[in-house]
Order: sequence, then structure tokens, then C-alpha cells
Amino acid sequence: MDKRLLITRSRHDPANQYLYAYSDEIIEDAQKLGWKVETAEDEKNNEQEVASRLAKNKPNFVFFNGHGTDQSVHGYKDMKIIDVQSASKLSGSIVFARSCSALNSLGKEAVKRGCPAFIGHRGLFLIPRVFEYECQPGLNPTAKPVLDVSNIVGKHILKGDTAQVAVNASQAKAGNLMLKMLSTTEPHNAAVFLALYQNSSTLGFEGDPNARA
Amino acid sequence: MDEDYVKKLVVARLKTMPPNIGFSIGSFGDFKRDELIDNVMKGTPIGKEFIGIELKMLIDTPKLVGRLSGQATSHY
Repeated sequence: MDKRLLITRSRHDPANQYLYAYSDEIIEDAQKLGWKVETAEDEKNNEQEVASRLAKNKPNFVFFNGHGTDQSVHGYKDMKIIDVQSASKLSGSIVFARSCSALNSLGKEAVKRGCPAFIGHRGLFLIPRVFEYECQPGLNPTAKPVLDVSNIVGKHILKGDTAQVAVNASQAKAGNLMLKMLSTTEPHNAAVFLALYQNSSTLGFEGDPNARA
Repeated sequence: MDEDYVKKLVVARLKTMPPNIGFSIGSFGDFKRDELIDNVMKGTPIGKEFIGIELKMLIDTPKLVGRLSGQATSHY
């Protein structure tokens, strides 16, 4: 049976536009690997729609893009789409929340209620941007390395790797890029370094390290 | 550490970045470099968050560099 991916994303503010754009690569990878891909986008990235798709399709892997808090992940117009009260809806799905802080409480609660592994961040998620490339997320020289590193988590889960391997791979790539940046004089790299540091040092997971989608 | 010194340190580090750079900082929103400097100096919630991130990074960077000579462990 095909594996199922549910990915949520919106374009209502610059940060979400960047997360949206960099999710294209995850969708392409999933399709190439034979996954059945469901997206909850823009107006459809809301609590009711996401709950319905989780219940109906039982995705193996859920990839949330959006703002977040310790207790929740948000969708279109920053409306909450999942929180600690509804965490049981993630039962049976490996989750990656590309958002701020959701690993702290939501991740723990989701695992208590049957999510095999919840990958996310324990602090703020930073996206550095050069203004001249604002409308070209894929070319923005400061956002690209940061979001490419974040995508590594999703790519490994799609390939069948464990939650632990996916997190380690993303952190290793961030570390290697940061080491290279220490010896460069490119002024944009100070912003990239800071974001790579913040995002990789707060990346982690709750649940079974050997969980696979 | 003295609070004024920490602010000056973080501002000095932010000034190493070109002014055409900004950050999306979660639900705090989007900030240009000079807006962040202003928030750090005024001690706003986002300014304090940013100070925390910078200090943590400064403390951890030697561990990262230690990987070059294999003398330190790191979670990276």
C-alpha cells in the first residue's frame, strides 16, 4: 500500500511564503518515491480540514509548516490547526513540525497519545532573508542554506530512515556548513550562521528514535 | 555579565551583517537588521530573545570549532 504524506503550508506572510516554497522539494521527493501526497494549503490549511484529513487518510508522515508555540502549530492566517488538546489526532503518524517551539509541549503530548515520533524545535525558528531576493525564495542566498538543511529532516523520513537518523543528518549538515562559514568573509554568512545554529540546536524529537514512516 | 555590555556585544555582532538582511523570527514577525538592533537596545521581548540566542551561540561556538581538531564533542 502507498505511504501517505500530509503537508500543510500557507502564503499569508513572508515566513510562510518561504516555508511554502521550500516545501515544493519535499512534495517532489515524495512523489518520486511513490508516496501519495496530500496538501492542506492556504485557506484549506485550517483546523477542520487538517483534522478531517488526519482521520480519513491516516498519513504515515505529517509535515507541518507554519508558526508555532509550545502547545500548538498554526495554519492559514496563523489560526491553530493542532494543539495539545487535539494531539491524539497525530496517533500513528510520524510528524515533523517546521515551526517554533512545538516540540516542547505538543510533541510530548502527541507521543503520549500514540504518535511514534514527533520531530520539531524547542525554540524559535529563524529564516534570514536578503531583501533584494524577497520575491525569489529559492534564490535567496541566506534563506536557502537554512531551509535546505531543514528539508533534510523530511527527505530522510520520506526515504524510510528513522527519526534519529533524520535529525542527526540535518544537524550534521548544519554543523559542516557552519564550520565552512567560520573561514569565509562573506558578510551574509553571519546571518546564515546564526540561523543554522539556532535552528539546529533547537531541533530534536520526542518518541521512538527508531520510528520510521 | 553587565546588561549594557551584553547589549553592546549583540549590537556589534548584528552590525557585522549588511543592513539589507532581516530575519523572520517565528510569530514575532519580520525584522530588518536595524529594527533588531533597536529592539535589543530597548530591551523588548524580541530583543531579549535575540540576546539569548546570540549568547548561547557564542558559548557553543568553541565546541563546534573543537570538531576541527577532534578535541571536543558536539551534538552537531
